[in-house]
Amino acid sequence: MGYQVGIDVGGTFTDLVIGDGSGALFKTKSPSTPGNEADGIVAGLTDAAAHYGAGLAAFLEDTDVIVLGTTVVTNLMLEYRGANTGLITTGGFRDVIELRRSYREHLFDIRLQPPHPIVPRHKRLGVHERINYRGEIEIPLDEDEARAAVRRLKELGVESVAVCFLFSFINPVHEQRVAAIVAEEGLDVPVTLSSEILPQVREFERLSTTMVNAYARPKVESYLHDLDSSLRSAGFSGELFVMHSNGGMIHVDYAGSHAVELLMSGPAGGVVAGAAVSSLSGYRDVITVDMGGTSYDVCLVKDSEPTSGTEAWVSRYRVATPMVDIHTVGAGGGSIAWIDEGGALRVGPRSAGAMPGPVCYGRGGTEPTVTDADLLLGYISAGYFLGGRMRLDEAAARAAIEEKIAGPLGMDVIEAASGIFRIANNSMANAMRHVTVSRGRDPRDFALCVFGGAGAIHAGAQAPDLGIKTMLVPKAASVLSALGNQLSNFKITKVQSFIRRTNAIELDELNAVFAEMLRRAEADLGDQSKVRETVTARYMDIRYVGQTHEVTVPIRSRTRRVTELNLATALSEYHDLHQQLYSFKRPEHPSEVLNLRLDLVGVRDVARLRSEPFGDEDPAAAAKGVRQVYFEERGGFVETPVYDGDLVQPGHLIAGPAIIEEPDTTIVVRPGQEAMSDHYRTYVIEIQ
Amino acid sequence: MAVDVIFGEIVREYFETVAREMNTTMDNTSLSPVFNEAHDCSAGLFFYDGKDVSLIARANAEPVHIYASVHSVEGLIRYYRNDLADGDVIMVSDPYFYGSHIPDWTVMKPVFWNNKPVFFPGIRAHMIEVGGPVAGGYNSDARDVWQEGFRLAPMKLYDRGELRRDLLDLLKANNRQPEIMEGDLNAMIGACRVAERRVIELLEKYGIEQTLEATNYILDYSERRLRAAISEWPDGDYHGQAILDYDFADTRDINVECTLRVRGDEVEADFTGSHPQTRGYVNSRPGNTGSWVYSMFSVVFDDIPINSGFFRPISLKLPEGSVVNPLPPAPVGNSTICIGNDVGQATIKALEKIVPERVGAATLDLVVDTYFGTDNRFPDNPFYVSVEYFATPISSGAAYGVDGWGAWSTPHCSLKLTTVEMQEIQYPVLYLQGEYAKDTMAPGRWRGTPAFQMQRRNPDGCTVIHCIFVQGCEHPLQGFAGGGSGDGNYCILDYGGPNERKVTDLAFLYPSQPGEVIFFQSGGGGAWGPALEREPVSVLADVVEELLSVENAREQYAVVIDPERLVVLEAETEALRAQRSGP
Amino acid sequence: MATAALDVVTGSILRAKLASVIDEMATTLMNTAHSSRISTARAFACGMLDEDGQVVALDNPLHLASVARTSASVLDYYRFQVAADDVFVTNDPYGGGSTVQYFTLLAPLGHGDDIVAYLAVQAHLSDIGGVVMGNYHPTAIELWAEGARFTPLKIVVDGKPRRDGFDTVVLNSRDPEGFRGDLDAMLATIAVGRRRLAELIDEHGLASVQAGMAAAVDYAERRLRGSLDRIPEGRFAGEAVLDHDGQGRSDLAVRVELERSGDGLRLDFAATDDQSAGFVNSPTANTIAYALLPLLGLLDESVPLNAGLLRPLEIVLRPGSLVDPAYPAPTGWCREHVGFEITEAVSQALARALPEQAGLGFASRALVFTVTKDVLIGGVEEQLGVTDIGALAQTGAPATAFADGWGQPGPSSFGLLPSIEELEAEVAASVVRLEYVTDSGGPGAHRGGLGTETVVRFAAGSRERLYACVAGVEHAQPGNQGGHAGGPVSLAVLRDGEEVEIGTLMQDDPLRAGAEVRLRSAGGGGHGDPRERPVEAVVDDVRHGYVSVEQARGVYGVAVDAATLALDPTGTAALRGGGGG
Repeated sequence: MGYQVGIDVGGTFTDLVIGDGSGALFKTKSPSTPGNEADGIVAGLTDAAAHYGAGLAAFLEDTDVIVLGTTVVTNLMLEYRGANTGLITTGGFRDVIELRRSYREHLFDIRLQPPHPIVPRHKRLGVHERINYRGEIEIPLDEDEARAAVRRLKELGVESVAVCFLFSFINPVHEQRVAAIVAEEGLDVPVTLSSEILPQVREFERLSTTMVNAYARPKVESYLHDLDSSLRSAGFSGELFVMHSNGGMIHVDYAGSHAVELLMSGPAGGVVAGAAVSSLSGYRDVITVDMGGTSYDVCLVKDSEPTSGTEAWVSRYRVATPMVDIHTVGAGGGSIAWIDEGGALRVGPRSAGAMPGPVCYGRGGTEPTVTDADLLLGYISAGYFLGGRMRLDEAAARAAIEEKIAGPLGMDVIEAASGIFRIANNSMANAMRHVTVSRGRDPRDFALCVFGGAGAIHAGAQAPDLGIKTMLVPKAASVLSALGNQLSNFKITKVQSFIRRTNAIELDELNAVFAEMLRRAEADLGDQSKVRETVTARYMDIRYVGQTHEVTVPIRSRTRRVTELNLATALSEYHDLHQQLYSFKRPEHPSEVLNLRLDLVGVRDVARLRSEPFGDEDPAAAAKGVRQVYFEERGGFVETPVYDGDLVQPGHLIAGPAIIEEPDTTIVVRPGQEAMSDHYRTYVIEIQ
Repeated sequence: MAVDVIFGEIVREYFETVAREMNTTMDNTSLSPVFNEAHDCSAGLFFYDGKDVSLIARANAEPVHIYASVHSVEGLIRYYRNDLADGDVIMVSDPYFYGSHIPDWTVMKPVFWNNKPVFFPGIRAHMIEVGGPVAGGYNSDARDVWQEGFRLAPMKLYDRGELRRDLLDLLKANNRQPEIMEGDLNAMIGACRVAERRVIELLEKYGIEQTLEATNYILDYSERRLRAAISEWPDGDYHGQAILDYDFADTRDINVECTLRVRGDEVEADFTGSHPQTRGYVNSRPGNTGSWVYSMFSVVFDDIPINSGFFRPISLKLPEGSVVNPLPPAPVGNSTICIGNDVGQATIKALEKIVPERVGAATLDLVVDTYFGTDNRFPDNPFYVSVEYFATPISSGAAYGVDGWGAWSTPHCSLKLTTVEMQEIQYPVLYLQGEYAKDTMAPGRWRGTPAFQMQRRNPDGCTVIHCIFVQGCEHPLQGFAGGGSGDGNYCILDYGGPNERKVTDLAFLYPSQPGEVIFFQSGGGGAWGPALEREPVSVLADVVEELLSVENAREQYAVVIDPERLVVLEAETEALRAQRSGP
Repeated sequence: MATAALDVVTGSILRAKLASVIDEMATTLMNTAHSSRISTARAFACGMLDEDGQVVALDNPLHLASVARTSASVLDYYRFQVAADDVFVTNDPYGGGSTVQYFTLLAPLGHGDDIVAYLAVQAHLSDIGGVVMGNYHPTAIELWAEGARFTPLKIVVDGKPRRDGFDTVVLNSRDPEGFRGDLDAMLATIAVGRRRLAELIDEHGLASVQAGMAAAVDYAERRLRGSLDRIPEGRFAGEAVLDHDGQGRSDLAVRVELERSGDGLRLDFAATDDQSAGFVNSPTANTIAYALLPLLGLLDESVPLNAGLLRPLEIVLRPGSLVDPAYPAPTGWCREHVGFEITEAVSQALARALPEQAGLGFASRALVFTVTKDVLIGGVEEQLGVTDIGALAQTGAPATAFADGWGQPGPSSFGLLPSIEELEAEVAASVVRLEYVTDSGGPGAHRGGLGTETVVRFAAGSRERLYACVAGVEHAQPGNQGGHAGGPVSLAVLRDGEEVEIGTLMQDDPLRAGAEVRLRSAGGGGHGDPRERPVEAVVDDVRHGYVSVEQARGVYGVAVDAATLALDPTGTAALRGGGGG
């Protein structure tokens, strides 16, 4: 078996994790070059080749799978660099996207600017047609008008077309006809049909998702194509896959035409790996947190499965495709601390980002950040940041906090730094609580799986607030997304609205719809040579009549069809799920199905991570010194032992207070906490 | 002090999260679209120091509820002052018993610590049905408050944790949709319970003293900031006016006068001179009036956390027997918007005189169609009531530096539009149109939002009864600093049919026919600044986006555009503008 | 329960004592009540129930079924949750009540650790919200438009009043003081009942009092069954028709079939018309109460009103019909219409079975009242009070086989005519006339009672609004056994001399200063052929002005000299033909 490569292209770094089939992993990090991601990737591959004692070409020869996690879609949307896009929609409803169901991001800010129009009004053309809620044609498609609209878009030089008609999720015939007309008119650009990208009720959500796909698609397609060819020209002869927002991998050409489904391609890998690593350590219910420079990503993992959701927004556009349910708050190492008009100390949401970054980076940053506070408090060491690759300027950090925070508030600089640290932790903890509680869970039932450069510095202080007892820090914490990509399976997710009162479901009809969804999923899965076995999971979104929030209920079907019993069971389980999520159930009240969901997972052979035996408990061998570290609970600085992560062996027991320095991660073991490195070199930290 | 700042911030954010969780619970568990789609409800966390009741945290939701709910919770606590126990859940709605209008129910649960009630999570929500003569609770024939629905005095629904089922059944007996009402009520109570758990956790962690210290810090913080800001305003009296078209009875052109008397770091909002209370159901009780005043201040100071500290520097003077402070038994049903909106407009027009660049469209008028009938698709339970938010979505307008956009104005945008598809699945209707209309924007340096036009067709084979209320046709939403006002609201019955009729005020219990089409226009908010100061390039953009005709570009903005090439003709434009602005 | 055998004497003594408890309650209520509806018109009932909740004593037949059913549903609702000093309140027409104005208080009586009896008061209260003060809303199509519906509510818990409960009830009344006053009077009445009954128990011992109760019930049952014996085998149909329902539907029929079943009686209303969109629907308890009235006519006053009277009856109702409507249909007028139609239908059927019983039933009552509206600042309207003009009219009683009709018909005879002097003191109106209408009594061998003409004038500066719903205009009171119908009902408003017939329905009509409202009530139907009426009787009628010379001649065949009012024997003989005189 050849090399399996997982790649995560981030804003600052490009991470690679390579498995050679033995269960051992090789990790490497190289700086990203925005605009030319291939460079960072090739650099990383070169490192790897060297590690395996081969030339790049030879190494790529032996590489049969590369899985890429990319933030390209998010970046396109952040910078609005998408294609010149046109929309054809139901006549009389061309402004749905601007009305946006009245969403406004700030309740009282009357000066809030409107979202950037990714499809300006004059490129949103209505044509006469109407399909009703039963899927019947109320008004037939006016073909001449449609043709005229297509010609107009052609004149306007659009590079991509989105089509979204009311109720197309039940009857797509009009949308399909328009796609045909686009071809007939020789407008040779990709066409995105809402009935294909998201055949799901609620026009605003479906339309917005469709538009984002059309907007991002051309650029994503060429990006992936270029990447593929540059890899091949470097000698790669295996297959390139892309991480899907749903936490599974997909073929590169499917990825291009379903660009919007790559929204979470980057972070999804981390969650997948977090789930996998945690379950190896024996924890199936975890909250994964990824703390980067600008953001803090939280996700729930239940029974080792990342929970998925459909509530995402990107650059103020709604994306309703199912994806790993990652909740992001604008709090990271780069978050800026400031004092508002009322004299209150605030942290974030503004961030110094990677450039200029925190003051201590010495890249021209002047605003004190969380990282600067961490440095002053002794959590990170000026000399060993990124394994020493970057030297931090402690004096500058101190000066900035003194001048901008401590002075004005009349407290000493360490008090101020500790304040920044606590406020940042508090908002992160609240984010975690929000994610769990709003999904009907109790944080105390979960372990915390921490990764990302700064996560392990802060999580130890947050966990107790949430009543969390155990914290896990994977050895590969700094490159976890890449690891996730390297480990992931194929996964295609399909949604189809299917609106029926639960007491009026025709089983055959239901099976017919699922069968069609499965057929489409298998088509999208494409070549299955890498697939060991496929697993199909079916779900129904159900709600009580009158409600507008659905509960997704699994159908426990082991065959290719849903049986009378499967259905009955699912319907009765709905009430209990509702009870568990929302504290009450009303079995006597009528309920209705809204959507059907189907996951097709193609399991592939990935070498299991290697388990190592425990050695001696005593970590003395890994000790590399002591330094003064500030612990509020100890009322100040405490002389704290520092351990070299590279020397920590499975079985080592490290009592807090202590610092463990991995090359790209620092782990703070707070007083009263105790860390041990387990069989997979994951740090399991127990909290009183 | 120093530690307070940090700890205070931590507790503030904790409380805000609690309020958010209450709203989430409402969203997820309520049955009525008014809550889970339209979010016509709001959560708050209150505090009682044995003397005053203070709001300490609230979640984004209908702001008209915010101050009103303080009023109600204050009333409830006063009512039960000597009769509160752990496990109680109490509620109230009556307009003359601490409420605004009968459909707005406030449910509150005292949180006990050391056998003393300290914190009070409360939910205020607009119930879709409240009994009374007319389904949906909007009875424009009402001439006294009894004709508006079942009057709810303060009620202890749970007594020491035990449900008083006779009270619950009483509520259900006076409701056309008891099942839904019970579901929504459970959601409200559930939300309060969630908050209770979380507040207890906080108290367990920090103890009462520290928590109260932080609570006071939170209140003082907002007060301090508002006082600081106000003291920078020149002392003086600043006046604003707004006029309501119609009271749905027989009074027209109902004026609301607001004089802001700025003295040092305090403001008095004096409504002397406002129209006497009227026969129609547009009279606004103090709780509701206050809400609109404070909402406007929150718009001007959108970065100051809203809590009772924020209310302290602002006092109200509401003449008794006027539309802003009616005497019993005046009907009040529609006042949360009609008159409420005018209180808001009068207030922000007065603020315009102080800080023009911080004001803008922030109020809400209505074309609302509450319709009901039977839906043959669901024979087991065919009766339905639908409050048509989709008829009335545009009230947003311009502010300094931004054109009007979107649908509902800040800060009412927590109301969410339902989707056409969901409406058609839930109710027997078909929408034929729902989009912006050309040449309808309030002209100005920053223009208003285009008017929204909607057409809805009845299904064949069933008639529907409508209660259609229109405001803002005679007196549309006003502009600011010389900007034009909105295009105005109206509705056309039997649109394109033999009995076509334009409605500019009221069509009460109107029975529409099978297949009948009804047309609605929601006119959009006002503009900011003189139209002649609008950048020609922005005018051109509106033309390109098919929102403005070349003729109106010239007419309203004195911008001359070549209709073929769609470019601004600089010279002609300069000439025309010079001539227009000339004497 | 204990049924110690009781000797006849003790039995009747106890029955009398139980009745006296009720009397004292009634007296208390009348003396302490706030509204004249209770103190004068006696629109209430006081009752006592045994530990199983069956009525053992009551003072108003119109309320028997309602008190029984209301108590039953309250006790069922609070099963296992009743404490000795609780008090329950309800006005639910769909929980054993009739209309929302009628509130029932029910209270247990504790003895030792047991609850051994219940006391009940049911009374007409001034207002409970809705659209029209007084809760008679002629165009209501749902219960909620008539007023607030109070399902059973515990307002006193273990002797401690529930403030929020009280406030909620009172808040929904436009007349908080009056309403609260009457509510307090009802509570006082309960207290008196409790005290007296407790004393009775102390005096005679629980066992014998309970035995006395049981005996009273059995006695009433025995008496009714006994009188039912007279009814022959067979099915006897009866029908009565209501002109209209205020919602444009006319001729609404109540139909009943009466038949012996064992030693009981079966009343089958299945053929009655469907329920109305308007406010003339009669909930089941009300239906039973009115169906019972003609049967009470078979008995004399000595029979106690209690559950015993309900036992022999098997009453069949069709859900969705006028006499068993489905919630939330309005019921506001059911205590008159279709209440009276129910009574009439049953007495028609009864008359077919027992001809001598004819003419017990018919009654009609015009709903005519004004609401005083004050106009406050800004034109806000406050409804201050109600003047019931209908109460000032007296429907003529039908003639029977035994006598001319006189006074009011049995069914509506319970309430007394208000005193005009009192009335004028209260309201801004003066009663111009209240007297019999000549010729309005249905001619017959026995003449029907006369209807009245009531004229009320409203003073200058009046703030009155007129509401009316009038039946009996189309369907005058029919005669029996060849007797003629009585005079019809009519309603008119006289404004500056000109007279405007109101017809059958009027809503919120502002009466201008000096306007007069003229109501003519129905006359009773006659019994037997008028030509068989003794000539002297006819002549007397003419002298007294009950009958006109014209009617005497034309209908009775009696010639009377218009000037001298003396009999003209020859003319009469000619008119009546040979055998006359």
